[in-house]
Amino acid sequence: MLPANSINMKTAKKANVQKHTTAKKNPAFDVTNKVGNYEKHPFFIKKANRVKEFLDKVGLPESFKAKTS
Amino acid sequence: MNLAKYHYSTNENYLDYEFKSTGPKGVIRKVVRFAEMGKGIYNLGFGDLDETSGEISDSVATNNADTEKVIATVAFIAQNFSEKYPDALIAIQGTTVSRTRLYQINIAKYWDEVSKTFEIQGYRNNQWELFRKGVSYEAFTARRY
Repeated sequence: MLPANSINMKTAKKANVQKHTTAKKNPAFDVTNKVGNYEKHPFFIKKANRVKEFLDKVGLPESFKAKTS
Repeated sequence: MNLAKYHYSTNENYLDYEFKSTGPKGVIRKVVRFAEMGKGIYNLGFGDLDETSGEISDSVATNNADTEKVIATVAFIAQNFSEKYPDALIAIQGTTVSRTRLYQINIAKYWDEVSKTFEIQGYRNNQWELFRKGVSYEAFTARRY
């Protein structure tokens, strides 16, 4: 018969493995509130305004207009 | 897409993304934002974040010897964004002609992968047309099929 503490060790080991597996669930990316919201950042506002001005001038691709109309 | 890429993070709105470029110049924090310009129309912009000043820049070449990996990561991010916003039109235009050309080269390079997910249009000679390799464009749009 195994001593009680060896069973606990096995349980703990199993728990660690499960925890590790969960953390690796999506290795490509994660969703976290640590990523800032850059909606009002001048860099992106300036960029978007520039591209918007371009699209206002040249219009959108016909295929996109067809899908949205 | 089976390309080398960096691990990236996003927040709950799936409009802001961050990843870290690692190379000879050290670790550089990259930020990607899909800025809505009209209903369902988003500009894909990205640059280097200076963590001290909070400034973002794309005017200087980072020279971190990982351009392809960075571009591949941005492509994966666009794919991730489009899963969340499947009807969105993504508009892309470089800050300079050479930057736009860099995007064009990389779209062409990974065309087999990119074209599986997106319909890409390029603007040239005063009109939009389906993207063709080896053709120079002023801007691009991408939309998930």
